[in-house]
Amino acid sequence: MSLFLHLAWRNLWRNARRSSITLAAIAFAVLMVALQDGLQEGTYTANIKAAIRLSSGYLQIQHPAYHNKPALRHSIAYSDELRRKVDSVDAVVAYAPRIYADGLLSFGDQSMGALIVGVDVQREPLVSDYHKKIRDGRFPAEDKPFEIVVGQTLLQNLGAKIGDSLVVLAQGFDGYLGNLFFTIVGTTKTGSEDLDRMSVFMPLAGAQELLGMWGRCSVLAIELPRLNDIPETKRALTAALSENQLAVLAWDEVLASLKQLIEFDQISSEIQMLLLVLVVAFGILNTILMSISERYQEFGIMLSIGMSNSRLVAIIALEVVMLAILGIFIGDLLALGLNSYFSVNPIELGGEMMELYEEYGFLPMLKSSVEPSIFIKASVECLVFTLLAALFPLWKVYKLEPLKGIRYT
Amino acid sequence: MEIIRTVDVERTYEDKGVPVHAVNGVNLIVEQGEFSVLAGASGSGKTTLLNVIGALDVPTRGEVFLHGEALSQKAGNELSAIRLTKIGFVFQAYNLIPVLSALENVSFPMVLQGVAASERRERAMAILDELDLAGLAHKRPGAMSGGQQQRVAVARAIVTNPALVLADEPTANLDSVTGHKLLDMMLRLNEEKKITFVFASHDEKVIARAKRLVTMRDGQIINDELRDGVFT
Repeated sequence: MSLFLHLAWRNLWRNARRSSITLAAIAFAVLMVALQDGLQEGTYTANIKAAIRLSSGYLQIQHPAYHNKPALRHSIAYSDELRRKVDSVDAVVAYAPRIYADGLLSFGDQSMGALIVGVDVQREPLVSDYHKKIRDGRFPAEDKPFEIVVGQTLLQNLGAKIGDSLVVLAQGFDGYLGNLFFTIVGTTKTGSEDLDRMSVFMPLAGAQELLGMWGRCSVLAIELPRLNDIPETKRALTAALSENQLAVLAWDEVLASLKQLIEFDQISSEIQMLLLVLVVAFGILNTILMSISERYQEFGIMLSIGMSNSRLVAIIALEVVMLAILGIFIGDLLALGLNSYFSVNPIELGGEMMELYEEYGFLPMLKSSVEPSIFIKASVECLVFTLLAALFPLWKVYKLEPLKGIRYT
Repeated sequence: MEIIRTVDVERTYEDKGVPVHAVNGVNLIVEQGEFSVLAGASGSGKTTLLNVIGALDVPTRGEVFLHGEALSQKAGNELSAIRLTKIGFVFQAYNLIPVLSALENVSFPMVLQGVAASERRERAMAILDELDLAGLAHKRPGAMSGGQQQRVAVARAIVTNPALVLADEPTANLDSVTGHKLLDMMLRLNEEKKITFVFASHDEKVIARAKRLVTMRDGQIINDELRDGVFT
């Protein structure tokens, strides 16, 4: 066997230039696939985490009907029992109750629709970054239920400023129309145009008072250490809450449109990469064909002295695999370098690209990832395509007759 | 002892739609220990007959028996096994694998046979030593002369102790002196080791050494002449 290995290895370097070109083609394909996947994975992860910290949380506990019909009557009791059960699940780092409601803001002559977000001022920073999005002023104080933070664009549209009071009107849990005065203590710039144009943040107690939802909340947002913890924690929470008739939803169920956007982007990128790898594979096919056609006479001699066609095919396949593994190693090494760099130094997007990304709710940056799965996928894809490219030349060798080989000119 | 028997062997090719009878009804018996030459002009059918005998080509009609076994009954992999174990080949050119050393080239058929590495090395070195090629053991074909390459090819052909060695124009690419040396070596192997050699050649040097000369024309044997009477 070792002689066959030697034979395959030495054959590779008989035409060093051709082998180097093939090697470079394979390495390039691996680099492109791993770089593309790394940037996608890193950017998606950053965006998913940003979305999780900005709105959904890793998991949410809701009334089973809330996701399809987010009405106040589909709120849940924020009880000691619920807190105890959530606390019993190990992976849960923190949780925070939230109330979401539609309302109307009235300031002076101006009235505008708004998304009311009631948050537990103490717990919310553990599961979201709302408190970090304050542009001016401050987040509401825990003991001041009627303080409010208004989205920057909304504040401008109302013509109000920090320190002003406004009236918030909303239909309450029991159907009555609640209205209360709130004092503007800050304004947010979240990076999400919708949130900045639509939303106001108030302490949970203020929202409960306004909407008559004492002891209740719309959802319970759950913080976990990692994205990978979601499936198991979801199962554990679902089991713990089985008697409470509550639904446990992951971020990608809550933010289904973001998930779809990512999937669509992934598919289009996969198609692009597939085309690139196909082009490279045809180049590899060409070089393998040239390499074997130059050696037909030698193959003829080898078959004449008793080598079987299948063994000959195995030696040439070994050459291809060696070349592929070497190319993949080089490509992975280069990709690891670039992906490492871009994972620490994201590419900040500017101009139209920034606007486009923000329009789709994405962070305007490209960040890479060094997840091992990225390199494994790129390596396997390129190995498979290289082997597929080798199939036709190998078939030709398999069908080669000794005399045809010896007489080949 | 009979090694090869051909019975009414024909080999017909199509050349631009025209059938060419390269071998046309040949009956030939080769006994152990022969040093025979199939001679004849180009196109006489000697190489085609050699290829048919060596299981490299399949007769259109007739049968070839090797040690009494009909080759036409064998599948492709069985023919490979026969070539590996019972027949040694020496060709006119492109004989050696260029990326392997002389020692590795000679070891190659034993690798295919599954002989252990230590035994392979020992046997290959012994053959190279016997043929005065030990000094070339670690040289690759590119660093050897044509004559040296052909001698290594002979070493490779006999290392598995085949029933017969088939040589197709082995001296065609060699100068006169080197050709003579190669033939001397093959003759010595024939006489000392009783290895059976069958050549296809129109080289006078080869014909002059033949103990049996089979002359062919138009795919048929026109003369079969024993030179030294008795095969040993």
